[in-house]
Amino acid sequence: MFYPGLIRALKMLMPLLLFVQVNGYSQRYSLSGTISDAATGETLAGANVFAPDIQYGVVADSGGNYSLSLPRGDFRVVFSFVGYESFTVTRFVDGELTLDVELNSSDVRLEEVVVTARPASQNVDRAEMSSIAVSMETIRNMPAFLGEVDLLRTVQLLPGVQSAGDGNTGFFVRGGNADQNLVLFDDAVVYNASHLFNFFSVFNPDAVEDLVLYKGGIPPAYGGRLSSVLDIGMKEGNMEEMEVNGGIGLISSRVSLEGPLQRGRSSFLVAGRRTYADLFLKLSPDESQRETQLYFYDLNAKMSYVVNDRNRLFISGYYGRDLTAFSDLFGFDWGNTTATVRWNRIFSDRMFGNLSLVYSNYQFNITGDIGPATFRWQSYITNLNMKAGFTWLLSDINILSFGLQSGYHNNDPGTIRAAIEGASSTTLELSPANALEHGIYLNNDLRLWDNRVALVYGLRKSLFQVIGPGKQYLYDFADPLNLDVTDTIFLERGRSYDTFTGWEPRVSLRLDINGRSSLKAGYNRMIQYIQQAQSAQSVAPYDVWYMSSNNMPPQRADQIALGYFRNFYSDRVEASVEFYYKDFKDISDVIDNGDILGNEFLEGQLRVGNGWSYGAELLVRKENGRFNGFAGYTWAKTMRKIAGINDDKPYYAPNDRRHDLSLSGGYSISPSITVSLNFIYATGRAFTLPLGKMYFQGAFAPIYAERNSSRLPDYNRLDLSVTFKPRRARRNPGFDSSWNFSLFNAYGRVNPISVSFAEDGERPGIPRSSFFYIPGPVPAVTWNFKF
Amino acid sequence: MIDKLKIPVLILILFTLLAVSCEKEVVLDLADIEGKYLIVEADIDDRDTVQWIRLTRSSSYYDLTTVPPVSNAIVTVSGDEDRFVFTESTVDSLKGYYCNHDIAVRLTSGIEYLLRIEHEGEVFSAKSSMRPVPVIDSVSIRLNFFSGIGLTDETLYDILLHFRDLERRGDHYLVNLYLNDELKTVRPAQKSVFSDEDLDEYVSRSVNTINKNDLKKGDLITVELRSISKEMYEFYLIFFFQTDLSGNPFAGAPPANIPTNLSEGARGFFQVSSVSLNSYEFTAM
Repeated sequence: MFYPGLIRALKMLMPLLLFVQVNGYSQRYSLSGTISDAATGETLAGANVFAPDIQYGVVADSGGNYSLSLPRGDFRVVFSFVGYESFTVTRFVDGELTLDVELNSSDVRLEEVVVTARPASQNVDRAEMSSIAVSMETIRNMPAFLGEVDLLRTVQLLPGVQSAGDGNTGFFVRGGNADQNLVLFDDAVVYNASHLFNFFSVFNPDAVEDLVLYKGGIPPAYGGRLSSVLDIGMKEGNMEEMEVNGGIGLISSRVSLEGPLQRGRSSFLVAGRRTYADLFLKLSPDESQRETQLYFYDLNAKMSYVVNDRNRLFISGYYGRDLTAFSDLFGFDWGNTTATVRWNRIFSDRMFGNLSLVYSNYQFNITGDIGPATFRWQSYITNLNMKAGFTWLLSDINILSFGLQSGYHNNDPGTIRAAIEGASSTTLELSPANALEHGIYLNNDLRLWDNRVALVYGLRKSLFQVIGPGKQYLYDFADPLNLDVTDTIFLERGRSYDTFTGWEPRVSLRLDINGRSSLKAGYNRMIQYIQQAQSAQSVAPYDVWYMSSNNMPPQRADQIALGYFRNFYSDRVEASVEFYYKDFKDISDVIDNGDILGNEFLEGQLRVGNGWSYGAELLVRKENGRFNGFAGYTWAKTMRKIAGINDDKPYYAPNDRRHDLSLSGGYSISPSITVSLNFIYATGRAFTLPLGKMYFQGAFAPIYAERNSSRLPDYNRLDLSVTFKPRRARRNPGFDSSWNFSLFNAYGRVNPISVSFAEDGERPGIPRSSFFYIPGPVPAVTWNFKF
Repeated sequence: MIDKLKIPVLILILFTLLAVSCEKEVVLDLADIEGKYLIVEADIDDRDTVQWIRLTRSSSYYDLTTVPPVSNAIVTVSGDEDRFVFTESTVDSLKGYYCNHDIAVRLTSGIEYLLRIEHEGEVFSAKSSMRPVPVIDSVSIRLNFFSGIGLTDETLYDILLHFRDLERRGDHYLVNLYLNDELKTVRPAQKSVFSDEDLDEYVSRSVNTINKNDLKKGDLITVELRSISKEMYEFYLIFFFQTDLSGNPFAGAPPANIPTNLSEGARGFFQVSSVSLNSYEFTAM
């Protein structure tokens, strides 16, 4: 009933399917197999297979499977993966060959400088640009805030990614808003990736296998967000032996257990984490702090099952909750739940596929029982999704991938009930909404002229349909500064209402220059149908989502990027410089003094307009050896122009930062001691500051300048950490442990989270301004273990 | 616009944030407008007393000197056939205060009034319609819940207002509190505002609190209910948010100017209100 647009799209894609069936060389043989971790047996999705003699390579799929098509002859083949030692073999190819490869984690022998043959690594060779994979090893070696290694804090350091500031895991990619990042955990959407008012992300480092961030050149398999895709894979359990990992820290502890259910055949992983910072608040001299509860916990579980050579099944799930409460008076809890079932199938040496069924939910509850006043607010958003994706190796130089995705969104921002005994009571019903979202895509990866040119192009067709039951409001646009509701439309169950659809082309081109460097260019269009109204300063757990509707058109972004990629020192050092320009259409922002917190007429508080951002990003990175790390620098500018805001004049987006420098590195002094540091320097966030003040009835209020026309002070911070790994005890050969000492914000820089302009509480009438900030330095110690 | 209902939530969320963050007083290098804006405080009503309008100028944010008055302006309020001139006080300490003795008794509900201010060749104006106000049946007090459970060290009383709301909807009210004829709710954040959208037909509402230490037997607690426009209601809410909740990074919109109904870049507000009064005589509880 809701598919006519998709069928039309499929018909239009058919000629393209035919067009791309170009044939490669004749008489070729496939070398195929699975790449896995030597220690754990886990498959390594995204590992590289490269034949340097013919400058040709492929990337293993999500099940670690690869298939490399080679002509007859003698070939060197290099297997490599971020955080692992490369492995090179030479094979004489004169028929179909199977070769399963196990790679060793590179941290096992950090004392050796690993010199690997990695001619023309991924950095230079692949056509895609603007994406970056970070290994968990890199993340683990970074200094941690309060001893909690955090994946999103690492992502915030990457060029092109900007942080919302201290105490915030929200991130902004190339001028996009925080809600424009598609965060996927084993294919499931994570609606709020933050714990504890943004101090930590929801991802337990012991349960994460890898992550890739796409800032541009986003493959057409992904859709629904404008600015980035952060694809995080949950770790698979060890297929060979039982393993326990854990850590005990000052404010949190975590433990994970993994192992075979049936050796070599099936495995499981369970991981849990809990903070106990609230226990320390009990020691506070301040009574209100003693009455405070503030903690989170999360659980991850995954089961992998190798059905046979051709079929693999994965089931994974996440459950996390944050709880804050003050005595019996006030309670606030929130969290995500996700579940994924994924089936990987190898149809033939040339065709792989996978099918996923995914469930995501985010909810929060706020309750207040403050004497005569009671308050209740419950809110949730749920997404059910089916994804099917296929990769077809038409030839060794021509890879076709295609698939479809179909999902259901159920958004209930909630009902707010507030009552004051003996007085009035209020019930606000925030508009519930339902929608279907579908996507169909096709992508073709071509290598031309002996791999001197790589061209990846694809197209995604997306369709979004609002369905009943639900509620929408009609606004009177006569006075654009003050929208009044003129009517309410109740959407009937099972009927479809507003339908939005769009084509999303994606193209990447790579020109090889001399084997060591390449030039790349890319273009992509993204469309986003579901968005969040966010406060200017912070991402809050109660920011509700809303869908494209009669009042809110879908958002759209077009991005072009150009880059130069080069490797140095026999490919041990990767470097790149990228330039981008991004054009946003129909993005929204909050009006002056707008109220987005639990407002049933939320859309009336938003205005829609355009934005643009451009910038340059520089990245130098070294992933192997005793010293590893990266340096990133971003120059960027992000503007918005929205009628009804800032007198219709262009203004800086709140996340506009001109300069952003991050240095992150680790050095292993000896096999048992590793030191690491992070240093960040960034231009202060755009902010609205007062120009003066006015007095009215004995009090004063600030008079503000244009929106976001001022800057907070520049942000800078240094974090340090030392990891000490005692030599393995002879009596206990299977037991590994390490001590991590970290110092966050080592020189105690005051980096404001926000600024207050209000009169002095003790001296009425005296104007005062103050910063709220996370005090530093924050030392922490964590003991990690593994057996 | 902003709903006062959510204030407790915002305060509690701010509080949890404060549990883990620090505050540091800073002096920022702010661009300066000094006296660029005319500030108008024109809150007149139909009580039979002298009505005042105050004109001042904006000042630098950190400036601690007194509020700069605006003198020698021509200030008039007109409506229907009437035109009232407000004349500046000749008392030195009341510079910038303009008064009129006649207007109060002549104000009529349902009429739109125009405020016109002429100063140094510039003309500023604003409009306000006077709306009716319900009659207050009675005023009573009761022990405040937080005092009752011992959450505050002081003993506070809630002041309750009882009245039958006007039949039509869409009205907004402001409540002032007087103790023995002295205005206790001088500043905007001390005043209580509400909309009749969340009122029952018969209203018994706590509108403010008073400290027991401030009361002695025989004291007269007077409550003043004033009709205000929706815009003025929002003005007070935003004023409160910007002064008492400033710096809450979760508060939503970026800071912005408090709306005004004055033209030509003047700030402040012009409101013509109907007033209803009633009192309670305190006899120790």
